[in-house]
Amino acid sequence: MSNSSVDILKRALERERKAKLIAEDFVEKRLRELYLENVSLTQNLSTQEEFQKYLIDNLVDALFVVDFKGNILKVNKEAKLLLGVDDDNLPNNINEFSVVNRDRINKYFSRSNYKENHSEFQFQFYNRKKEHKVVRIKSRILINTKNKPYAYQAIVRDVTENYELDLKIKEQLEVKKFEALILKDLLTSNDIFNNAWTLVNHIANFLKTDDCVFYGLVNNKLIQLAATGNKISSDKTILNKLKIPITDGVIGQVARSKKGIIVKDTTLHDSYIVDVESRLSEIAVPILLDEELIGVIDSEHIEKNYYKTSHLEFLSNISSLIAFQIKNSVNQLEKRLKQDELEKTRKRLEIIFNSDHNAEVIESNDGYIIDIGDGFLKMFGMPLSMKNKLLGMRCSKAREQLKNLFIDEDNYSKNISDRISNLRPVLNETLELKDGRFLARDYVPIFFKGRIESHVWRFRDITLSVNYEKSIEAQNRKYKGLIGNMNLGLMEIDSDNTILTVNKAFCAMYGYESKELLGHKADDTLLNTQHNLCKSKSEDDIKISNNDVNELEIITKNGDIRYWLVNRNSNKNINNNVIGSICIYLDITELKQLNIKNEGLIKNLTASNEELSHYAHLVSHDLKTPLRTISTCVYWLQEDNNDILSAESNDFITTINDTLKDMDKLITSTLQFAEIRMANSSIDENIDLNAVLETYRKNKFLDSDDEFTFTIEKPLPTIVFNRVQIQQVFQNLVDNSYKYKDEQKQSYVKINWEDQEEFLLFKISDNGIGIAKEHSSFVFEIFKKVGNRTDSTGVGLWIIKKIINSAGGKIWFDSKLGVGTTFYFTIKKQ
Amino acid sequence: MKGFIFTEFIRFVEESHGLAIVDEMIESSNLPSRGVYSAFNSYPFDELATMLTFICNKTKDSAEFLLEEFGKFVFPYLIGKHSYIIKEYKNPLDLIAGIESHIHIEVKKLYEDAELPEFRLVEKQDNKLVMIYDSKRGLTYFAIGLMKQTLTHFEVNGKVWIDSKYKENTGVKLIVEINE
Repeated sequence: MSNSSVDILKRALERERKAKLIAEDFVEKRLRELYLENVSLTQNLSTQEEFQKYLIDNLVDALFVVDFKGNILKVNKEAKLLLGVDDDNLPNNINEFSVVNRDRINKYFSRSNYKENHSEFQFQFYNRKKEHKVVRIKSRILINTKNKPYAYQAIVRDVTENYELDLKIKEQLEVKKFEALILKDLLTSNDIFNNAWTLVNHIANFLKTDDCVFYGLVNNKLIQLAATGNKISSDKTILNKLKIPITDGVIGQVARSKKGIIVKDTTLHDSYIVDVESRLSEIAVPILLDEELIGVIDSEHIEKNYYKTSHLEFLSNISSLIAFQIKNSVNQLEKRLKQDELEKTRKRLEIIFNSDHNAEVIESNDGYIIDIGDGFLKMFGMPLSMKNKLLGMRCSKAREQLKNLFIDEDNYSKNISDRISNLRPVLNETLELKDGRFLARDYVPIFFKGRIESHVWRFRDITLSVNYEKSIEAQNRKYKGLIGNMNLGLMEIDSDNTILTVNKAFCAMYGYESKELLGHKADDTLLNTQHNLCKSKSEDDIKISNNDVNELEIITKNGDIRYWLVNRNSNKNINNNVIGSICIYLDITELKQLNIKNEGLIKNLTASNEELSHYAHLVSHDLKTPLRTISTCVYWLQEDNNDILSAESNDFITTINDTLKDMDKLITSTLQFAEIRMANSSIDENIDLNAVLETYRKNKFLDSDDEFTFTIEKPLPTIVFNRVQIQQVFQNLVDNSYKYKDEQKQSYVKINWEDQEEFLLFKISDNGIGIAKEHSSFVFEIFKKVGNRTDSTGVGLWIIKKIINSAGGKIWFDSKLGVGTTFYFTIKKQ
Repeated sequence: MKGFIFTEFIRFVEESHGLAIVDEMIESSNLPSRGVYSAFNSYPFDELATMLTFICNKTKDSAEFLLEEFGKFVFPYLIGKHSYIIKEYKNPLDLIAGIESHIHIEVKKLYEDAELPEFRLVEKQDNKLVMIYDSKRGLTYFAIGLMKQTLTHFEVNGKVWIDSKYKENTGVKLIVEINE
């Protein structure tokens, strides 16, 4: 090792030694300090302990050390006093005492609680001497030498006295507050209802119940004036307005004895009256003023044994406070009830008095108008404003003014003074006014305490009923005259068919005098009737056959047979019961005979018509043969002598030929006409018009004509008609269209139809030459034709019109010259 | 500054550079204590700074590097002496997080005059710790060295670094992160 190395090491060693010395110094110094500190701490501690012991023993509060299981580890003098124990019988555990809310206490002393903030805590318990104690605890946790918590040190202060004092003060305060509240309410309002309601609500609140009822003594009955709880509906009307006679129930008992009572259990009390629902305890106190009963305050609670003497004192106190006010209010109420009653009566009377129906005047016993009804003013045409003028007027003066309204002016006044002097009610006197009205007057004297007090005059307008009676009488006379003079026979019978009345016409028809008929049975054979006069039927039949007309064959008094029509109507009284019948008779004998004649005539006529048709047919048919012979002969004559006949002769022959042709047509038409007439008698049948027209189209070869179109616009209906006739109608009309087509244009005929309610309407329209206006009037006339056409007989349209008309239809047309024609005809639906 | 830093620094220089350098450092530095240090006492920080500067000049190492190495060097000494504190910790992050709230309190029990830096915990996750290191003296890298050695002690891989984005005037933000 080199010198320098040694030096370095020496130096390093030197530094270490020095450092060691420094360190030794430091440690020595530090040890000394610690020692001194320790000595002073020990001294301090013993002083502290002594002080604490002293403190604990002299503590005015009790001190406990309690572990987490509630074991009492240590107590001081005060604690023993508080627990009511001495050294011999020290308790081991806090649970040995009866504690209110033990869970809370156990929790307070539990181990888990020590970390929580231990604030002051008050609780109640009963000590060994059974004394009720209220204590307040403050505690802190104790830590053992191992730094673990093991128990609580609790300072317990006895606050029982304070607590009880507090309670008392609170209670008194409550009472005072409540009393003040009630007084305030009573002083601010005189309304008994408000008062009563405020009262019951306050009391209920105070008693902590939902039921309190206030009864007032009105007319010697206790009436619920106010109630809390479910007895009050929203409009403050008491649901069950219980009225209790002063003798009944707990309340009645209180009212009689004038002493408040507590019923601890209402089920055991026989006089308990169930109100809305049964409650188990009840308290009631009287409200008294100078020993006089004014009302009762009553409260109930659902629990048994709820009310205490303090409640009774309280209620008695309240009742004496409010007695005067309540008395006042009850008096007011009674007064108001009476006033209300009076007011109601007055109102009712006023309404009756002033109704239009009653025209009344009240006259005082010394002859002045006391009151006048609106009806009276109206009756005599006075404005309502007159009322004030009339009130207080002398009646005699008023009568003078009214008197000239009556027909019997003088009697009117005299009559009145008679009434007044007699003082007897006189009702329904009829007075006639000059304006035509009739009045009924009632007079009623009013007595009060045996003396005449006033007179009531009441008028009613009876014009209507008087006039009504008169008019009924007049009507009666009128109808009697009418019935007596009419041409119809009339007989009234009762429900036993006894004749009650007959009119003159009936007697004339029948040949009997009315006295011979009245009182007899209408179905009596004495009357010579082959059938009963009234065709006696059961009541039911009559009802059904009302207004039925039956034909009767009657034998009159002198033996003639007559035919009558009878109509029987049941006669009813006001109550709609049938009391008989009224029969009306019409003699139809002449009519009947006429009818029989007519029938014969028609038969003859039909026969001769048929003969005529037959004859016409024969004649026309037979006429054709000679005509043809003539035509042939003339033709031959002309053929054979053509060259010798002069031009003039030839012209004659041509004329003969033309005339023959015309004649032939005439005969053809006549034949046709006859055929139609004969066809008339044949039977109607179902006819499919489509088939009819199809056959016609084929026969006429209409389809092959390019210049003429025949169209059926929609399928035609099936009708019930005479086949020949309907064929003729369509044929004729279509033939006409064809005949009178306009050669200048493409011609057509169209057939269409419509269903109208009762008819079928057919249209046959063409674009032919049309019918000139001047011709339109004789289109349907027989043997009229336009121009000199040889293919027309002038019979067709006439026949068609006949056919359509006789089937109940109509035919007409529209036409414009050069444009076309439409024929319309209707056929009645079946 | 507590004496143990000085005694350990001299041991650190002796072990890393030899006793001759220690001797030279003390002889040439003209220290008020003349290089005599007891762990019980406290000495001015300047003496440490003087010695550190000497070593920097001698070895051309940076002060930061030296301080970090010094920190790592001191760690076993500290835990060896105060194992009753350390043994409560099962992982390095809990230990580092407990510096302020626990370890420093224990230090204060022994040396009430000790001037300790503040470690304010900003964020702690299972594998990451963020704190503000605040000291009167610039011994940040000493602290980093201690923390790194803590990771090594618990045989955990991880990093300790300065958050350069942290621009507050007081303190340095240090982040310790453990690799999964």
